[in-house]
Amino acid sequence: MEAVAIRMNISLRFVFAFLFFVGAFYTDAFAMHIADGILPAGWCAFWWVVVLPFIVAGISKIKNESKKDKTFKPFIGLIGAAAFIISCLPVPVPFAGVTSHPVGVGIAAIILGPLIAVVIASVTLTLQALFLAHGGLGTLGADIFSMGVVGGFLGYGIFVAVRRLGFSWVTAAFLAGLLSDWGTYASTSALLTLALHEVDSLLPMFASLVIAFSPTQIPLGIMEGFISAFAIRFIKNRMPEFSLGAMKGKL
Amino acid sequence: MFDLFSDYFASRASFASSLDCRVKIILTVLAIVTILFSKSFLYPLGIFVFCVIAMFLLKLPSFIVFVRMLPALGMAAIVFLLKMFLSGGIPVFDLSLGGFELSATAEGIEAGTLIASRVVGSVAVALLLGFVTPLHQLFRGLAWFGVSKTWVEIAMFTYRYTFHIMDTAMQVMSAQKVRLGYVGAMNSFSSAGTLSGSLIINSFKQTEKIAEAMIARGYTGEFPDSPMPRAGFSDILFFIFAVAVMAVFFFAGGLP
Repeated sequence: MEAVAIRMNISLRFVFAFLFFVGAFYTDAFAMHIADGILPAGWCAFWWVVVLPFIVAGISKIKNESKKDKTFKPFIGLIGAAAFIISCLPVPVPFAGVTSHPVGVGIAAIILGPLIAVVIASVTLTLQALFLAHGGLGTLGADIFSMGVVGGFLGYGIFVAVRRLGFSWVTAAFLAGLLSDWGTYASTSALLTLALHEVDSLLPMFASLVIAFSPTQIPLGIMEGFISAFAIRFIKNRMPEFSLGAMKGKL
Repeated sequence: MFDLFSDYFASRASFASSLDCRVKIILTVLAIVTILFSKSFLYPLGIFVFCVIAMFLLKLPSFIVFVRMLPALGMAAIVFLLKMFLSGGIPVFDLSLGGFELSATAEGIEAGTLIASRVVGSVAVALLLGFVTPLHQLFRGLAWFGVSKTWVEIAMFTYRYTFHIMDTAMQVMSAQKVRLGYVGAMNSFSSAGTLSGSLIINSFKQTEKIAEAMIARGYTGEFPDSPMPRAGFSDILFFIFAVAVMAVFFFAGGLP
């Protein structure tokens, strides 16, 4: 057989990736977690090194807080469990025709701050890797980066910025949920591209993955935005004194 | 749902569950690292088959094993197909899909098979660890290896309260469903948001009660630490045997 270098047309790659991702990645659960074995060992180690300072900083923050308040660690555990369960809620996704679930890290970051949200993400991702095969132990660093660092910091930052611009709690929570979700997927696509691209295929592959994820992720992000907004509205209505993380004071 | 998250299978008496948790952690890490470095699909696939046989011998419910493995199998299939059709190289066969001609290449099939086998192999190893090691032992083992005690405490609290919060979430969700709370998109979002908010408020309120009960039982802000017992002779023997078997298969599987 004659050796022929096949360079596929970019639009064809889009169509192919679209079909398979929509068909088989019918829930975001598969798409948001990078499983073990997909990233080469070097990239797994690299992402561990990248997220480690964030985890150390988060743990240090928890240690400092728990010195002042003995109930702080149980509180973080409870909020972590709540975030874990929120990230498992089956909610119908419009247009995609499937049920999916929110990422949940945006809400956790708003309530606890982004550094503690990274610690919570590391815990919940470990549990998910051990029990649900979502993600993996080797790719934990990469998954923590996408969900905890990018999702958490984006959610928190957007919430604070939108509140400072004078918008309502609900608008701020909606945008935080929406953009932290989309940010998570964009970074997952970037991570996959960086590790798996071939020569000269960096941008086409990134574009392929972003387009492939978009049929489920666009409605999913909107869903996450609404859920975050309704959750924050519920908390503010039922417990006006609730004042933690980005919900402190008049912000 | 409870079965999916529960570690009660790990509490069953078996040789695997009786092994020292540190031995199991090192073997898991070694298996995943060697899988990632393997050059042939045979080694990861061999590990996958071994893990599935071990799960079968441990008499784990096949439905739970299947549901837990499903994401990995789906991911492996996707990666295989993407690599097969999106990699350049020697065309093996063509496929017509929606008016587009797709070429499967030999290099793509090879790369796809390797990555897919790595996915199923390493995921099976992680799942097996979860099936044969109670979570509290696993976290204790991690602390022994130097993982932050604070992280371990948070992880233990999170796992412990997951079932409590899951129970609340399922009750609220059932009540919402009965009241047609999940009919229509906006209605679903509103119900899910309300549920999320109520779980957070519930956690916030529960903290005080739980912390009071813990302090009454002597909690000082940190879990008491006790030294782990030395690994037994049988644990060390099994460790040496497993590493030797892995080494033989790794190098044999890596041969061209």
